[in-house]
Amino acid sequence: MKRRDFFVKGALGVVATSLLPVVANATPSSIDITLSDRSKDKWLQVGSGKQGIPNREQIVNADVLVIGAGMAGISAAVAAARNGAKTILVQDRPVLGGNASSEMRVTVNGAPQERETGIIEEILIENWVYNKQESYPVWDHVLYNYITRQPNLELMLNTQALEAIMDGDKIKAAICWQSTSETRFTLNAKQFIDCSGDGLLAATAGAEYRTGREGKKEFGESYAPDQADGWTMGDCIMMITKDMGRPMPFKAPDYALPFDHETAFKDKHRRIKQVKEGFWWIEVASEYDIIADREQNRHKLMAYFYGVWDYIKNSGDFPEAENIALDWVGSIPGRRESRRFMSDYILTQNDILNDPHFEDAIGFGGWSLDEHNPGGIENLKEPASYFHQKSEKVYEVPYGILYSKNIENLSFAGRNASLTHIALSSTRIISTCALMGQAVGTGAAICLQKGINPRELRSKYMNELQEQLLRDDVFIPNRPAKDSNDLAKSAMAIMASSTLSGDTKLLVDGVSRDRGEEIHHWEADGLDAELQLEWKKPVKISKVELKGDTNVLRRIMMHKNPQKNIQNEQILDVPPELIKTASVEARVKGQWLEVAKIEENITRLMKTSFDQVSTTAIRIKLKETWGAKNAKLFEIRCYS
Amino acid sequence: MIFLRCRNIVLFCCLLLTFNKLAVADILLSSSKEKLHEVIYKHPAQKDSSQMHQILFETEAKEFYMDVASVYCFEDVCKIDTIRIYWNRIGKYQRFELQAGIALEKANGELFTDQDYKKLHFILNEEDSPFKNIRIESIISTQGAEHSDVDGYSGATAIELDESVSIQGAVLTSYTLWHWANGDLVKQIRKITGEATNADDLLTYLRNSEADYKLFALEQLMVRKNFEARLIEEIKEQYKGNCLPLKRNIISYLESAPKEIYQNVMLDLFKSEDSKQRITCLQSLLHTNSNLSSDAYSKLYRQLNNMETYQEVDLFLSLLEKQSQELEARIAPLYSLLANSNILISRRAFWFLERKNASKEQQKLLNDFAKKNKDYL
Ligand SMILES: Cc1cc2nc3c(=O)[nH]c(=O)nc-3n(C[C@H](O)[C@H](O)[C@H](O)COP(=O)(O)OP(=O)(O)OC[C@H]3O[C@@H](n4cnc5c(N)ncnc54)[C@H](O)[C@@H]3O)c2cc1C
Repeated sequence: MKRRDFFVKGALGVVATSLLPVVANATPSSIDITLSDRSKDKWLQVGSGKQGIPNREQIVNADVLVIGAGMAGISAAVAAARNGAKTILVQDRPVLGGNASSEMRVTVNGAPQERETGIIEEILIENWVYNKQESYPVWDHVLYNYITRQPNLELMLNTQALEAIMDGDKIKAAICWQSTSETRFTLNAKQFIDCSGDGLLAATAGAEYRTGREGKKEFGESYAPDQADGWTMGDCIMMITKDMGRPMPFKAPDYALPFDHETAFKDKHRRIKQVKEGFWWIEVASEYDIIADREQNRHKLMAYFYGVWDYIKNSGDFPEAENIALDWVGSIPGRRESRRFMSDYILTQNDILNDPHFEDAIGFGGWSLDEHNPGGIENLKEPASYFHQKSEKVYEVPYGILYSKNIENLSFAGRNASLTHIALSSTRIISTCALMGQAVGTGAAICLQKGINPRELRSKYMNELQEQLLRDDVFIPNRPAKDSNDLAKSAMAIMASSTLSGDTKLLVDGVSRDRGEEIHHWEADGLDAELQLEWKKPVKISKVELKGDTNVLRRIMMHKNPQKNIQNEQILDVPPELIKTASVEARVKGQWLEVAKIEENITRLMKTSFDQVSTTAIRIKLKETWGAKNAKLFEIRCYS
Repeated sequence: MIFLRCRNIVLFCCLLLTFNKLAVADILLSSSKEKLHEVIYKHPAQKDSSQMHQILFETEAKEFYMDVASVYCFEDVCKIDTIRIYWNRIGKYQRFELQAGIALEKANGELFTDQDYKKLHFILNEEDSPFKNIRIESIISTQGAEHSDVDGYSGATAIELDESVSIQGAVLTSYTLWHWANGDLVKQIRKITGEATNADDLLTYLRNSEADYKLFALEQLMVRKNFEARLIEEIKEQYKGNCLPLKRNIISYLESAPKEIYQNVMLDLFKSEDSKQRITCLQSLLHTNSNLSSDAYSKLYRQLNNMETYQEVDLFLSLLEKQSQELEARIAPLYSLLANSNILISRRAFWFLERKNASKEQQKLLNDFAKKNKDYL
């Protein structure tokens, strides 16, 4: 028995693991000693007068453990929990959102061609209900509200996953440290999902990974460097300013580094186009170990940032900055790239540009190949980013890049997936990461139901995973839904009170968004619209699910400079097309009964469930939208 | 078609001022045979949010035109030309003209080719262009201007513009001009023409071979709430056509008519061989909560045996269910529906009849139906 293995067994049996003998030469023993040996700690409880060693060890069991609560991890955890798995989400810092949190304030972008739906869209819309002011600290708490209200899901903040406890090629537990409560947690689970970006847990499990840049030849990537090297894209910090309405002086801190604007500005992307919200090209990267260099790089980033700001404020070249003062500057750099864990498939540049069809597709991406230069601001000779090429259409993202090739029960999603460096330059966009998250979360739940691991899921149950994702409103290009359990497909007639565009038949065609000219919706002429599905023989129904319209061609994310969204006349609210109020009726023995109500709805996917009825017809009354004149739907499903 | 025609010099001098706020005094310089209308329009590509006062010219031939800026561009790097856009009297874009010697430019400084001008005309002629719902910032990012918020520059494009709907290197120009040609000015032109028309004109428009004119006439009739018999007769005639938006607008127009006129026309339209048309009428009657007159009943029942689709029967019975008084004589004919070979229809009738008073014979029919079709109920 490996030492770590013994440790967990012991912990389960004895509970207070601090009583266990510590094996001195075990690696990494230093962690064990500091976390476990509290014999000198004598907690005096003044109230009760009792003194003793505080118990700072806990063991928690779950089905699925998700590490890292960036938008990928959030999506993974919610998907796993909603699909029935008891899930824990651990996040090493106090807020949720990863790079999109108030700590870094990166904009939640997605494929520019058409927007992602599913969990990420739910969150972005919900934010308009609670946070119309587009405040990042409030957004953190919108995420907190969203996560903490999900049944089956437990959130552990300020908890860092440190090490995997293995049983052969399987992870049995994650050792975590919760800094705020001085507590060491042993989190036992059946499926592990590492969405932490850096992937410490996966690395300690021994999951195979890569860092740096592949050479051109390895995958035939024309934009890759000739020879492989160690460079990753860099880290950045952001800032936000405010207009004080009067001249504001600026004195740079002592550690600021002067900005060589003449060289910098030779690249057209490296310019000062605004003074409101940070510059993505103030970036520092590492050639050998961007994780080890983190603290030095943070210091450098702050130094470079203040140097640039000093130039803006004090060179006289930016009169528009006269009244502008810094209001917030990040202290935690956002990270673009470090470990990329290897799966059975590695997504490459060619998959992004040639858009092949993947039988195991679980979502899509669409960002251009946007590869930041090696070295960032320390390499002014190269452009800040190589916008190599756009992918014209959205491209498919396969499940085959989302689980470890050598650790059986480990999946990953987000920037640490099985990608080449060049592929990551496109897939790192947050909503793309979130789609990966929803897929692995759903996949982990299915693995649990079937007692299998992700590789087997991919080879045998891909259809089931895709159907579940489609049902949960993920869009998978070139993969219409064909769920045989969906009774709406067997209805003899679907009638509408009126039709302005599209057709009621399209509500069961399995494609839940329009594809350019190809229509997949039904739109009523006005509101108080009704749809009626008729079956020849009675069917048993307890769930009716609708997909409404949120206009996936429009941008809906908030912005760290809210003024910009106002200028761009972006809708700062729930999409007006979305159904707000509706009801579902079932006809039982010739009588209509209301079985479900949809009120104050803010999600594209409207799931209703009710006591099962035996019925020959379902009627949906679409009463109100969030502003649009007409009711519009993309899908209707009915289940027993 | 491209029009490059020189115009009256005096007029043009005045027109070049359109981009500043025009003083009315300047306008008076123009040809006396043309009417001037001062309109206010906020162009979606304009940087500031202030509305612009523009001068719209109405020619003797009742055409409208305006001289506009060829492009609004955020970075102040575009060459701005003046371009004259023409609309017909109901606000439909017709053509554009450039002053002699002026040529439109693309992003890289290249001049528009003949092909580009043709394409531009084609783009402006397309009322349902994707430009309709695109914000200027998406266009700018397609052009390659960087957006500082994103992690690079490709991100802000909310939509990819197809080659067919934009001119390479002149997307902003296409966008700007499309919004001149098809934006809010269209409504303002329609309003001006509308105010100058009488019922006779509208009748002529209804008979015009182009659907756009017919729709314009209906729009005006709705505004005026004019339901004169001769107009109604013409409108019924027009309903026979195939233009769906026209049909839809006719129904809306009728729904806004006094109850009696509405019901009569609706039942006239209901007397049709076309099941779709009958469905539309029933949907309207149901949706307007119409209380049926006895005449209406008899007109509806006359079609009972022609109702072939389930939807029609369902709507018909739903309409009956909404009526306050129920006469036995109106129930009896419905028993024939029990024999319909479409189970959806016969079942619907069964459930309707089951809740009515039934004679012995009728009850037997119901019982037999229930027995025979128990698997479907
Ligand atoms: C400066 C910058 C600008 C960018 N701009 C954009 C942009 O405009 N739009 C866009 O879409 N994308 C942008 N990106 C890319 C994007 O932010 C990332 O690719 C994306 O956030 C990755 O998502 P993720 O969920 O995989 O990881 P992250 O967002 O990094 O989330 C990982 C989470 O895991 C936590 N974590 C890490 N280790 C552990 C551990 N051991 N235990 C517990 N928790 C752990 C972290 O605290 C973090 O919350 C930008 C990136 C940077 C750095």
